[in-house]
Amino acid sequence: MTQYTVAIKDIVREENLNCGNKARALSIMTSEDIRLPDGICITPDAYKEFITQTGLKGRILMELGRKDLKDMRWEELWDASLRIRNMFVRTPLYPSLREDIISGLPKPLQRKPVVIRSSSTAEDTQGTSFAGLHDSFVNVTGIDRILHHIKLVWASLWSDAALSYSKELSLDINNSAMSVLIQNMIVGTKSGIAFGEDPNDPKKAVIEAVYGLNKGLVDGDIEPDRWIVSGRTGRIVSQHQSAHARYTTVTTEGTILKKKNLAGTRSPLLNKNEISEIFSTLTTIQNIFGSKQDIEWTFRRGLLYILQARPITVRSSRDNNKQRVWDLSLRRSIDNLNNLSEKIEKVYLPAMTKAANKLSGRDLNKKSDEELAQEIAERKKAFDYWRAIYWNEFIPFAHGFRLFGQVYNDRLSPEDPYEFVDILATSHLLSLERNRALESFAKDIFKSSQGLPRSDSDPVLNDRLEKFIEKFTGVSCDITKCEDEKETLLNIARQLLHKSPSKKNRPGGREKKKKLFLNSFSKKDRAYAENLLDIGRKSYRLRDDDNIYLGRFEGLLTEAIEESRKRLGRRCKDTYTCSNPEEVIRALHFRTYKPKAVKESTHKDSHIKVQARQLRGQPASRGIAEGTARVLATAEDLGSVQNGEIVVCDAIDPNMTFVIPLVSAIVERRGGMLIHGAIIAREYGIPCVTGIPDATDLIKTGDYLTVDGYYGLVIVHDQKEAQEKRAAVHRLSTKKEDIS
Amino acid sequence: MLKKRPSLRSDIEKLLRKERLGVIATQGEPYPYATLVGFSFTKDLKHLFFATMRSTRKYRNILNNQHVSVLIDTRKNDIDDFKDAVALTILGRAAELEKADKKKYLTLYLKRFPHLKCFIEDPETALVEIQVDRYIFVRRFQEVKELSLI
Repeated sequence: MTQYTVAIKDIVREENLNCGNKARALSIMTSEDIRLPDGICITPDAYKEFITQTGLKGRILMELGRKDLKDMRWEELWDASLRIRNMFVRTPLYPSLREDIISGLPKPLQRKPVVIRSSSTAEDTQGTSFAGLHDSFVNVTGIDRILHHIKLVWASLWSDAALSYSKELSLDINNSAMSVLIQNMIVGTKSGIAFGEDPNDPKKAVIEAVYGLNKGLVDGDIEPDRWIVSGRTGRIVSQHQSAHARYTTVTTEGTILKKKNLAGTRSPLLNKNEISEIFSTLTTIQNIFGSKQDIEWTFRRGLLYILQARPITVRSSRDNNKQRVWDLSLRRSIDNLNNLSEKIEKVYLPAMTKAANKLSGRDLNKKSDEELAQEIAERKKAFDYWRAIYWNEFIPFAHGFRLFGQVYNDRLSPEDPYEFVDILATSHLLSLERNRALESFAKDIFKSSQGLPRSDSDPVLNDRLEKFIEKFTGVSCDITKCEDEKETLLNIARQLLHKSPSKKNRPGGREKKKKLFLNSFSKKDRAYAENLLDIGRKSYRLRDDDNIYLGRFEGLLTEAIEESRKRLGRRCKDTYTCSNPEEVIRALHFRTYKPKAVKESTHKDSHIKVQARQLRGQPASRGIAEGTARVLATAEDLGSVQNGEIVVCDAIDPNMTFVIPLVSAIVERRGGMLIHGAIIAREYGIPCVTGIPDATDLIKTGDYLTVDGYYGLVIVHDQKEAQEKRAAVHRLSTKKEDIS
Repeated sequence: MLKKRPSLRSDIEKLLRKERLGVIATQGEPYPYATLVGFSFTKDLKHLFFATMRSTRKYRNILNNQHVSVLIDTRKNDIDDFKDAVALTILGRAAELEKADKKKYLTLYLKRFPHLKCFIEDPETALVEIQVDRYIFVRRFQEVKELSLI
């Protein structure tokens, strides 16, 4: 034992040492002669000293101080967690701590592959489930890699999942700490878990088994063989055999899922003696702890090893926060993402295009009211169906580029934790393609008409606009308003002709960074790295494009509702009255029925004298810009955007990206570094600050702003300052004109 | 749906209730002069009061220039301050209360500082009123909002 390390077997004897319940349980089992991998624990004091001595404590605190954690969306928590993780990765262990850990690490563990596990001092307490919040790593070899992974485990004290549960964990910079377990790696031929209590029948126990390591089982990627046994005697009550198609094994570093040669795997994975041994050990462990347990085990060379044990109440307890459960379900393994990718590319996107094409091009004018009602119902059904696919399949797939980003940062320790986006951004985004098309359309029109007249006074222009809109159905209007689409587009096109030259983001060394990333893997693991990059790129592109695919259905529905509005006349007193498809359908069926209005959100601060001076959010795209604010409250505001203004809005969605080439910065209420607005801002090389909760309330159109995309700050200047700054800008532009 | 935060006004009132000391800056020549005072305030947030001897530098400064600034904050002098501390800068105009008004607001002041009874009853002690023009509220290190009363 050194100052910061203790042998697992000794933890139980150290009454004043809190290495977390996971470590303590392992120590107790060792003292009771249960067979476990050998190892040591790095005490929580090492973590505390590290963050104090290196100044990380203050930096973490500042990161968490941006916003109340409870007000953060999952994306914002993920971003905060990524930045903190990068701080740990980039901060070296100072010499005395490094030496202490190395001298406490037994020589065999320094040479052989090890497992590095988290054991948080707040995990698995009070009968609440906190399993899986922190990171563990298997098959790590060599001192430097071990030390690197210790820091990753420490960083996972602040994982996105842990931040989600910050209240339950009482997560706090001064009191929370993380122990790290370093154990001998046991590469078993078959592994699994055992529950002392079947969730469906408390009198029974459950044993599950897979080939190889149990990571694939725990991650939910491999279906296991399952035995239901009597909780008292261990007698087998029923058994279920899986396909045995895949298994998890070790690679140069970490693990990999492999396909199994099915020959000779048709019989059950465990024989009766093995089931009996697992059950017997489970019973012994339950007697030691005096409660039902959930254990992880593995067989190596015929010997049963116990890897972990925790009270069963811990894992089986349910989280009633549905949003949080859904958010955390977004974290997917690479295998899961590969499956999703194939499904999205080969099944969903072609089917979406086909379905949208089938619905578009129908002449709504010629339909009777009854037929139009039927058309709305059909379009709504299609929209609802694809929206469900979007939430359940497309959004989880977006985790692909997050997974890539995390691996990139862990391996290359970049100064900017979002450097990885440069590599992903080579993909072709549909919204940018549309913007280029609009710019070219605007130039074309300008040449032919010498000045962009109103569409209603120029039939040729009107025809061209209609064709453009048809090509990009549903891109510049939303469910509430569509009738002004042509004028909106025309106004934006007019502005585009006079905009300053584009300063598009062209990050240097893209190829170099890609090579650095791929070369950080051994030859054996290069295929995994390329797979990860491929998934990252596809998911990054889809994160933008999926809105456009879905937007087509929304546009088609809006188009049919617009047609209905024209017919319903006075019964539709405003757009909000006739935005509910069910109400519109009813009104088309019954001549006297008046559609009910959908209530508008009226979130306004009652204190009219409150003025923001500085607002803090996330620095989502670097750069500094000054300009006049344009608050986008509704779709109609899009047409008012002037060249050089700063857009302030709830969230940039693909319907709004037409105006982005005009603006000098973006400020969003919705938070996140990888949300649509942030992606587009980076593509155009303009600053973007996201996650300012009351941005659209506190900032007014006409306010003069400075947007600091490095630090995530929006400064609202008072009138005097604004006048001075506007005058300076005016002087500068006059001078430029004189020179030219 | 996110829960709406308490209003800026209630954040300010909460801070004024919690803290009893603040730093007042008066306009000296040539240097601005900052010093610690105990303050009380009215419920409508329009007035702050503090007591001072007439022989002090801050009192002399106020006679020459009524514009003052007061800083009230919750710092504990540890690292958490950068996340948790809030600070309020108050901009206003200061003047000594006349006898009648002094009597009126003295009770309010002594309710907060009963141990200053002897000090406040000293004939050399003035009760100074600050008419607040503006509150500038800072939280989370860089988030700045302003409540204007003029």
